[in-house]
Amino acid sequence: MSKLGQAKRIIFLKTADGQLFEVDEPVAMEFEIVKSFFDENEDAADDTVVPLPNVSAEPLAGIIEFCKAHVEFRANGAAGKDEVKKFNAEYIKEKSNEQLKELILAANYLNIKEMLDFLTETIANRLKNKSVEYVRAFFGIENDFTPQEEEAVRKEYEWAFEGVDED
Amino acid sequence: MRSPSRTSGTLVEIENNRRSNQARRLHFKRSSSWADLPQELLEIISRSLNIVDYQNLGQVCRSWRLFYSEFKQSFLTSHSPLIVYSSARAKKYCHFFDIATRMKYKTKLPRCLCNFKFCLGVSSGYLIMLSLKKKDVSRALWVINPCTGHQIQFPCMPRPPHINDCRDSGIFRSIFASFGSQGQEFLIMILYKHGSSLQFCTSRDNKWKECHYINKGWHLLDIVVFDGRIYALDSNFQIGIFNLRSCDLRFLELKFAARLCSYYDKWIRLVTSNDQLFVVDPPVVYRIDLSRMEWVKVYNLGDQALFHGYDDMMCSKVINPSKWGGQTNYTYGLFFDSKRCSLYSFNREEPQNAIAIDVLRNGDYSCFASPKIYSWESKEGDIYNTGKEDFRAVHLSAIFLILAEEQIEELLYGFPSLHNTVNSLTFFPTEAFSSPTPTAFSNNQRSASLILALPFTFSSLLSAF
Repeated sequence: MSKLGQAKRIIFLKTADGQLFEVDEPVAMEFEIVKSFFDENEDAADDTVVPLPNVSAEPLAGIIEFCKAHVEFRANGAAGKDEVKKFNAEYIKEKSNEQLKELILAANYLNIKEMLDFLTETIANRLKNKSVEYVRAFFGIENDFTPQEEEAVRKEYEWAFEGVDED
Repeated sequence: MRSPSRTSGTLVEIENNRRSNQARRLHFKRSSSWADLPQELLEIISRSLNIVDYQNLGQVCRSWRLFYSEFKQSFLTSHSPLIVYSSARAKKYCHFFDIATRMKYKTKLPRCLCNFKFCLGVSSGYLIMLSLKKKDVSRALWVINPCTGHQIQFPCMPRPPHINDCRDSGIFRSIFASFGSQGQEFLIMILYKHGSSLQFCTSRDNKWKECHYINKGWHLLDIVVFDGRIYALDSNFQIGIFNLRSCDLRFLELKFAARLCSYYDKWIRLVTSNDQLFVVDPPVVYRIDLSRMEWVKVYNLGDQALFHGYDDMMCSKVINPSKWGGQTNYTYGLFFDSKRCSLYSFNREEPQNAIAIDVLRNGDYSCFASPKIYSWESKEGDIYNTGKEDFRAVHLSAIFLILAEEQIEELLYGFPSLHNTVNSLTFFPTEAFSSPTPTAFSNNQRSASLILALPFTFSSLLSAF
């Protein structure tokens, strides 16, 4: 983390598609993978470019936006407040399913705990209380079971629990 | 940790010991579909799903199914025991209540029980039910796993219980277990009230045998399957092992046998955890140390909690509740027809307030929207009158289902009555809790959790013959 009084350090990140990002150090340090890079290379030059061969520019931009906002929230002591929830809700509203998938894969690769928790929770909410067919259609997943397998799966669940409607 | 020779340069070439990051790099694949979502992500996602959602997830596609199967065990162990109940209004269903999340589930009961059914108890994850057709022609005993639907039929016992009043069926305890090398044969054993008769039937013989214990100066208080044997506890504080072939009850010579104090015989239990045998004489707990052949008073449950059913046909279990956020070193008590599960600290130092989790509110399981936790002084005699419950409307029965880790496990709390003749309710005095007794053991329990859809979830008898 940057020390008080020091000039802001900038971290350079290079994506798989060759884009170079300049990121404030506190934001980049949210990425566990970047943090561990510098922990392990303490003498790395200031202008070291950290390559991120598994992340492309679009999700990275989204991730930086999210982390930047959250770093600020924490600095302002707003963590956990409604403001954060509002930001998160707005943030996710604009994202398509495809974008969400790219984000979660990238966040997982970069190992950003806070963002990963938020994204997985978002996906869990989209799975909750939904039928199998709905989930397939919603996430664009093909039913790749053979009819025999499907029958076997269905049989297994014949006895399974059902949720109870709260009325 | 560091590799000083490498400074700047490509990240992928850095060798480090941080396995998570390394694994992340190695396993990272650019995936094209949600179906290819890495299992580690599905694992995080599934943490906030309930059992039904998790089942659905396993039906979406092959790769999610693979994840579902591989992580099922750990998913289930992170959930609390379920209280099982059934209401008179919905005879087709059996309901389950998760005490940690307050989630409710239901499952259909088999058709064979449509006419009239009576639950004698719960054992090894199975409901033991008596089916009585109206004219008493085809009575049968059914043993049903409510999670998998697996069921086994036994002939009705020679002296079927009186079922006009489910509070007094004449049955004290029923146990169900498997035996044989493949676990393909089954045993059902029933201890009658007053402990004077033990009846059992195996799927091999399909005939009931009876052992009488009359005029012996003692009677049996409980039976339990532990470590492949059937253990019995008698009113002289003796513990014996029952041999099915010779019908012989051989008592063990144990040191420091305790004097049991509970007023109600039915409160005294043999209770098992994964690898230990206890005698519970509420609120006192003893561990039976079979290697040193002695009774050991337990002053501390450590990371375990005792789940205790206070009535005939209920069962009890010691498990580690920490995985689902339960209270360790506590007793979770369930009384017959109580809509609450009450928690008492096992530690004398702590203030003895009881906390209760409402299973049902307003006597109706559909009015379940805002379950609350109540707390009160345990010494007050009227604890059950807090809240606004209308007891007349109670038609439920409850059992704790148990859960378990590796394959097995058991329905934890047996609770009778899948029928609706209960209209007067009696609550037991709470004095027994006013001077809770201290505690002391710790062990490294594997924790337990509900087993779902595992075909065989009964305990196995290894050496009962």
